[in-house]
Amino acid sequence: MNTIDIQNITAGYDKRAVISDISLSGNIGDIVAIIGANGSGKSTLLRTIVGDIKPTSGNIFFSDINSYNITTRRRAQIVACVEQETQASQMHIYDYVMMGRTPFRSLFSLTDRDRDREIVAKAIDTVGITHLQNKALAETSGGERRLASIAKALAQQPKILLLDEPTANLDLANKVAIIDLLKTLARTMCIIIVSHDVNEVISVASKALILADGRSICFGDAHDVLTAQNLTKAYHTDICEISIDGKARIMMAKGLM
Amino acid sequence: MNKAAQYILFAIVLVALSILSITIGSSELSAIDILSGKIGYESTEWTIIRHLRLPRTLTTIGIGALLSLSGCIMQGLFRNPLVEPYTMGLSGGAVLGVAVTFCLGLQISFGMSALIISALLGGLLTMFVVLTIRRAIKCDINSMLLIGIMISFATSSITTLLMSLTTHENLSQIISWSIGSMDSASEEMAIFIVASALVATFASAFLGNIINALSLGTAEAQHIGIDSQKMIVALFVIATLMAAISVAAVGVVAFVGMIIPHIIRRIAGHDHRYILPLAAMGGSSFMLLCDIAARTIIYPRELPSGVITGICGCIMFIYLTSRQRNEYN
Repeated sequence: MNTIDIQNITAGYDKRAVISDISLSGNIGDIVAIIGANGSGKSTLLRTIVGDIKPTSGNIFFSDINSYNITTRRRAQIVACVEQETQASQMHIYDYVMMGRTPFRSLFSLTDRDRDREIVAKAIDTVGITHLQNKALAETSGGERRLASIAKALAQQPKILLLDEPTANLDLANKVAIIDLLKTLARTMCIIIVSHDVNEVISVASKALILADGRSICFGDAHDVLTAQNLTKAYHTDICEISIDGKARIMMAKGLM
Repeated sequence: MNKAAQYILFAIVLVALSILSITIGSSELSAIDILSGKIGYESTEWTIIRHLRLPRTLTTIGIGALLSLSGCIMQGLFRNPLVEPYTMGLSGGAVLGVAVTFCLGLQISFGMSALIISALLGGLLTMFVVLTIRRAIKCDINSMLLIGIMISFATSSITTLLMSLTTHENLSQIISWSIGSMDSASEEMAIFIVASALVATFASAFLGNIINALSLGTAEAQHIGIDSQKMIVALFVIATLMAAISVAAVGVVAFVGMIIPHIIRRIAGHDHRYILPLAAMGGSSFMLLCDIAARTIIYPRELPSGVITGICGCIMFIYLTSRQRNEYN
């Protein structure tokens, strides 16, 4: 029984399929990378997993639970999502992360429980932003907001964590910090990460799915899937693989000329 | 200042302004006499308090609470600090309802209650139209706001048409009604308004979590377990009902629903569990201040409270915005 099992799903908008016949699976400890060109359906797939879009065919199982037979609240107890953008609101980071406990407390509660406070404090500490918890989101940098968003997701104590381009628009130091964090988090959950940066995910992903034009090119072990040949099919441009310090790196072949 | 202290301070201010509101008028009453119980039930002073000052004061408190709560919920729901209870066409619908009543002469046959009912129905009808269009075209929250604004323009246009075709007397009455005023407050109205405000204040504290979640955006709220679409409709209906009761009772009182949430957020932060009850008390206090000013500025004549709230609200809004810009810079 996999933590997440996506079986042949087709989904899209206004009866137009954006992704067709997609399958993937993952367990606690996996980091599943979803790679593809712009418009290949990566974000649509993520939105389908998190429940924003209902597939027209296929199934998604969270362990043995069919994801379309559960309430929004129950889904949020299993799956957490880190969006591409975190809005710069006036909400303090601590309160923002506390929102991650919403699926576990009464909608009408007036105060925070001690247990929720402990979980939030731990989530904030895990991502390393304890010193920022009393700051408003609007007063923080993009990288700090991204970390706050990850902390909020961690406060949900999910089995499955979805991240939509978590290192987009971040500087190198923040990118490295987030990737390192994901390696730690993967010990207790299944992580699914959408990314444009193949080299970033090649170092952490245990599994990979490559999408092109809404269809799966291949899915499986990351080192078997993230090859120059498969990526050339996905990006419609010549990709080559080189080795730097013994580690595989992907580059556009044109860049080497 | 911690939250408990804020609640106590707001309550003290509200009580003080309530007493002031009861004492001010053509016959000045002593606050000390009122508080010490020296005013007998057979006295003229008690008659003035019971039949005039107290209903007016209670109505003012209730209206301030209802409008502030409605504005707070709407601003959290639409994530837009410029939204107020009337943005979505409520006031336009209510004034249209009243205009139709005057044009058909229904107030002659059925009395004042015809105006109240028609205002309520007009306001609720615009809410129904917005929700129906939203459902038909499956739009997002921002589009819903635009639909409400367009409905507001449409109702205003129809009202203007009616006003241009009706008699001068009707025209004068429609305009008079549409400028919010507390001078028609009766005991029955006061009881109803205060009861509505108390229920709304109590209930709204429990809506705080939902509004907090929706203020992150509908998608993000959904991802933390809130059924966003159902909650948007529920909150919109609740906020509209609050404002509709207010408009039906006393007419259009501008700016309270926009400015009070701003002030409260600057004082108490952004957690709606705490700021909603504060907004109710703050709105009540603000309305009392404006009503006291309306009764005293051109004494012995009276200004409509809606005029004072509009002018004060505008000045306060500009001041707060400039302070916020200076802090940001």
